[in-house]
Amino acid sequence: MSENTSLPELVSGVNGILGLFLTAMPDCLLYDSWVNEDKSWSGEEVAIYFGDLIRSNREGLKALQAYSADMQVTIESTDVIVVLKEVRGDFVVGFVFDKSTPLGMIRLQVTKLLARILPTLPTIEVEKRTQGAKIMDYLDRYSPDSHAVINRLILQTGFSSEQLKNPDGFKQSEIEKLETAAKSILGVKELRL
Amino acid sequence: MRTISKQTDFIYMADTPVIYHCHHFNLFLDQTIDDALGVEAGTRLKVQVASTTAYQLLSNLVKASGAETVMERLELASTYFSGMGHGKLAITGNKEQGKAEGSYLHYGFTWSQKYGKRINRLNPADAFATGFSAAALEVAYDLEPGSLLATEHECIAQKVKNCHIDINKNPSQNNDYNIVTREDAEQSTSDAIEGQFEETVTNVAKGLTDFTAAVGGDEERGIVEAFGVYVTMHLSGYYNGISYQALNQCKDNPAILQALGELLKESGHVCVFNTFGGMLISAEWEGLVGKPTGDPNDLIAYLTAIGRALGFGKWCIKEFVAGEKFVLETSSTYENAYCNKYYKNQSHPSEYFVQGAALAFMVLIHKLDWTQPIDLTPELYDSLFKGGLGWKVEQTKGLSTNDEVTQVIVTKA
Repeated sequence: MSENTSLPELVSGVNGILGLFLTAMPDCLLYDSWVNEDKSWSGEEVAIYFGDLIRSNREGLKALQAYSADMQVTIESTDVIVVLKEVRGDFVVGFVFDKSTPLGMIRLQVTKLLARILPTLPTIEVEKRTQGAKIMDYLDRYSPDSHAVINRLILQTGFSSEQLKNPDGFKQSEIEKLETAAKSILGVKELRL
Repeated sequence: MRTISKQTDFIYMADTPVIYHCHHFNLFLDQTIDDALGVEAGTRLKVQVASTTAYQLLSNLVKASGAETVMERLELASTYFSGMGHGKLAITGNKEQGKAEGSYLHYGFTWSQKYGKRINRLNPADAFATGFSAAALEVAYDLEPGSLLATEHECIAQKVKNCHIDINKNPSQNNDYNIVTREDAEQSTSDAIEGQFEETVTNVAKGLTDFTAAVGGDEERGIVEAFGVYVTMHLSGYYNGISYQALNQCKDNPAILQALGELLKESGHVCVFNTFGGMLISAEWEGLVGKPTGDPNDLIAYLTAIGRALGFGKWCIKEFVAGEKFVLETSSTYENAYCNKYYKNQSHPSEYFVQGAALAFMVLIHKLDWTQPIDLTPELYDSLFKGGLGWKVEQTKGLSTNDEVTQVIVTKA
């Protein structure tokens, strides 16, 4: 990866901005972030969920037959407005503004900031991760009682803890067993990895 | 109808062994059984054990209260179900079939509170209430235990308004009536011992025991919200039955058996963190005992006292050196009451809950700053108990292996 963008310089003077997060896809890894000094947000944690949000949004729009590559997710909560934008297919940029910032101003700022961020983003070579590794990562992120996940998987699959801690070595039939257990733990019919 | 044994600190409801546990422990244990056996077999076991142990409780209550008619007995069952903090359960039916409508059922309701926003639930959560419903009808009509079989079809944890349970004749009458009576429990123990800080432990335990005498399900919901958790007075036979029968079913697979034991031990961490920790930081504790200052000698005494007051056994501090070592000894454990009757002469000590609890004591004492406000969040739990704990525990003696005491030793890892 190339040198990180200077995010503090980028956001200087932008009214109402509270956080800026650059997430590298497809693994939702935090590439860079800036957070207002009054906030105690964890960049890594935010990056994961923003990446997953964009992914889920994409699937939802496909289901509505309304998918467009050029989409933007805006979330309004009591305290903040979040805008997420997928760029180039390999990054998600997340902007967090104070709720009092007018939406029109936010959209304008987002467009300007994206124009400055985009040229500075590196080209990412995605390391091919095994399905087993992806499932274990997913569980680590989303399973309740994550402290108990390994033992829960041992009970449900019969795999050893060594196997589960080294998921790259799973055969296809074992992956299917692992996936079934993961779906059971998460209460889902499908894993969106 | 609640009595406490001076010898063992065991608690009884109409001579049926009971203990207090919070929803975190209850959900974690039920989930562990399903993980070990599969949801179908796990549910079958939980419902069957619930039915058996509830039959014991309800029979004893009927005997003690003199309830004669079907209506009186069903009313008694519903009243005690709510009083013990399990929610509202309205049971109707005849000798061959019936139904139960539940609201705020402890397991389903607390599951939806704890997990419902994060994950979906694929199967109903109220195995205990389900088994209880069948037992209530059996006792109401003087049927044999195991005559009826109940199934929960809808559960609040699956995002419906209330829980619905159907009760029918049991097609495969199960004659296993594995219960532990008061006599069994008292006989499973050895002579009471004392330990360090005994006066503090005894006095605090007494104060807590007096306090919990007044604790019961609220009128509207039949649940007990206290110390930041949902508390139940529950049947020790249920916990022991599902745990030890699951262990027995897994005994031929060492890796599975070990993982199951680890999770049963972890249930001790979950309980101590949420219930014991919740008690220590509560306003009620401040009124009863005073705010903890962080003095390790005080904390170990308080935690031990809580274990006694909740009915886990007469836990004692054999040895405590802050920062180094904790030896918990006890002449009575609620787990051994069951093992002594049904799984005698075990090859190794297997009182997993007390192992996990003792370890969690040391983690709480040494890793938390008691001079600052403490918020017992899942994130804090993970930071304390996920990954390297800094402490390790070994059960060196067990009432379950015919030793004179149960002894667990916690030292630095």
